[in-house]
Amino acid sequence: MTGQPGVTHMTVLVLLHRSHRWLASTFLAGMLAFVMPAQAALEIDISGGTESGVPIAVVPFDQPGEVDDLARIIGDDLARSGLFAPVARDAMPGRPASPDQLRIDDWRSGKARYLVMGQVEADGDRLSARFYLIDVSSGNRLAGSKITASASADRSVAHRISDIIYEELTDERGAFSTRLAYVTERGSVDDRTYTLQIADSDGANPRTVLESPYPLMSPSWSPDGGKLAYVSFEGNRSAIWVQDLSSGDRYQLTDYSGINGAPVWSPRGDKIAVTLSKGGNPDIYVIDLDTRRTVQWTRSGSIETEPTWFPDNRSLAFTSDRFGQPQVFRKGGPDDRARRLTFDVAYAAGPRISPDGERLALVVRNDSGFFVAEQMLDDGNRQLLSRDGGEERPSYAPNGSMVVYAAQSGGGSVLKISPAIGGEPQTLSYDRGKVRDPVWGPFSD
Amino acid sequence: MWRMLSRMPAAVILAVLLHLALVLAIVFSELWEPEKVKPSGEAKQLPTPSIEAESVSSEAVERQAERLREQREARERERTEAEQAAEEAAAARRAEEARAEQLAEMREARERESAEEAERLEELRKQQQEVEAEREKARNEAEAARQEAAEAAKQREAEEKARQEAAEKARKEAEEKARQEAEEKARREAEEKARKEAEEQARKEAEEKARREAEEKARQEAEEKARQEAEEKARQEAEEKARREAEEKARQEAEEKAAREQAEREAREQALRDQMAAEQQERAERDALSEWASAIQSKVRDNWQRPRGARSGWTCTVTVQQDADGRVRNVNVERCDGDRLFERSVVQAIEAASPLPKPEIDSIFQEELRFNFKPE
Repeated sequence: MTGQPGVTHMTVLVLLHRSHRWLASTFLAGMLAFVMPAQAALEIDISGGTESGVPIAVVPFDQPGEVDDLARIIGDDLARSGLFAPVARDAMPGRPASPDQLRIDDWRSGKARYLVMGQVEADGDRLSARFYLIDVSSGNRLAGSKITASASADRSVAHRISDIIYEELTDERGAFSTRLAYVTERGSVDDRTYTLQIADSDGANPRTVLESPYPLMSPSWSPDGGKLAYVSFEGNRSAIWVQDLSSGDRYQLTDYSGINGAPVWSPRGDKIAVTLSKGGNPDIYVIDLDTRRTVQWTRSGSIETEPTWFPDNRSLAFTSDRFGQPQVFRKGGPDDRARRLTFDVAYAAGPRISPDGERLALVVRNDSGFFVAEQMLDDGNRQLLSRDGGEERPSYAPNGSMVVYAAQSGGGSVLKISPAIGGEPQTLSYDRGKVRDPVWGPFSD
Repeated sequence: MWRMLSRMPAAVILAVLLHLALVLAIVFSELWEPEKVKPSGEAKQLPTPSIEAESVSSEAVERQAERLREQREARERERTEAEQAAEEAAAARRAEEARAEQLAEMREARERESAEEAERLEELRKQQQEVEAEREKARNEAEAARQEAAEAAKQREAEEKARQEAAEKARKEAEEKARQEAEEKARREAEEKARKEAEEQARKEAEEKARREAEEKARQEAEEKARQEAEEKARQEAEEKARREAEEKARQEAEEKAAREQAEREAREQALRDQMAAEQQERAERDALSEWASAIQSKVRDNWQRPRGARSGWTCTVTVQQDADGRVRNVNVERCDGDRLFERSVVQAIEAASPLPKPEIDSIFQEELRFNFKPE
């Protein structure tokens, strides 16, 4: 607008406290405005700036060789949030591990605004890690603590540190010490193997909680993180199962004729919304887990599916093709009128409501394919969060800062995580077959 | 005339008076007898009365003729009487003149006789005087010759006596002189010897004394000279020092005065400049403030790494305290609508921009600044 690079708009308001008599305002170069009321300091407006991840240097910890590189894990965690941009290690002016080794002036000339350093001590099957978070600009220590864990939980220690850093800097709870659940599909057409997997938030430490020759679909976390509901086609018919993760015990929740799909646990954990076609047409139903009473929420002749709860524990968003193409609607109750949430897009499906209830993550289709997008529920503004065009239904991290989704990649598919505020998606490592239906688990406590 | 007057005033005055009296007499006589002179002239020149013949009245002519005749007769009588009177006067005058001439001749004759008698007497007297003179002369010459003879005899005697006396005297004097000369010679020789010895002694003493004196004098002179030189030197040095001090003092005073004047001049000029620059100062300060604010804004903005996700409408207002060198001492967040990361980015932008740019004009510097950060 005014020709200065990186600046889209800028206005400077200068207030003179010494010049009571100057009441006239003058505009200079279209950028500077002077207003001189009494008793005011020189006032300067700063707009624009460079929007980017906040540069943060996570200095390699002073740690034993057998322990995972905690600094790397922490840096990756922070990078996935999209809010931070870890500084490359070869750009670091030093390798301090504690405040007494830190020469802050060396860092001030660099780009990093924050610095994380620490040291790890292994003592038999225990390890303790001490870390420090430093504000490079001011030199202040913002956070620092000692974390003790079993030797095998070294990655968890790193995620815990990431959570502390994230919460300190953003005032939002970190979601790095959470888990993902997803389905994998391996093998040939004649010899398929499906698994239900649980992994750390960065995709590490995957463990199989169910393996089946029948297709598995649509896992959903109980709010306490102790159970998963999912769809299994064992016996060649769909059914909704609930499995306890710690014991592995499971039970069949629904066994209606037709489709039994898309279970989703209510925020309070007392209900599960599902899609059933027992009425001849896929509709949304809500099952009370205590009474097992099932309430039908939709009755149109079109397809209604993919329910998702609002934080109020009473409202649902879902997909309906009642207007021909899939669109997202909201209902405040089984008898409430369905209100359309998505406009201006031909295809809108796979809705997920953010934990704060203000945003809607979904899949939209445009000329380039299917993309994960996020839409603000108040004004309808929508932005794409994925890049490639072969993405599937997303799921919010419990703090709402990220979404995880499956993306086609080559002949298979991978898991990707996108920052909810926009930014480069991160691909989780997965090396075999296809991965589908990722869903982000709740906070662990 | 004036000389005559001064020499014989009485005669001149008398002559003047006589002339005056003569002139008066002539004039007076003319005034008293005017008619007597005129008619004779007029009668001869009177024209012929031919006009009478032309008159028509013989009677009148007769009367006129009669009257004219009577008048002519009268005038004839008067003329005759006048001619008689004139003749009588001329005769009288001629008689007078003849008598005066006779008297003059008589006086001349008497004077001539007297003069001839006098000349004759004088001739006689002169002859007598010449005779007496010749007699006197002869007598004087005889007397003179007699006196000369007497004188000559007397003189010869005197000369003889003087010659004898002189001879005697010369002889005595020669003897005396010889004796004296011998004595004198002996005495002189003795004296000469003594004198020489004395002189020799005296000379040696004198030389010694002179030498000592010379040495003493030289020493004294040297001392004196040294003293004088020292004094002179001291004096010169004192003078030089005084002169230098005076010069230094004068120089310092001059410098101080110059400096004072310079300072005063500069103060005046400064006051003028201040006055003249007063209006421009305000504008300059305003411009400088604009530039300063722009420089701060630019640096802070360049150091602002705005986190992703900042929403339009977010605003962070912070108050910043800086020191004189622009170093940020304190950042106080007054109000912030954004999240913590946004707020932190604002504080960090300011801290990273420290030291903040300084203004072109120190006077506009402000310790406290306020910033309003907005994503858009």
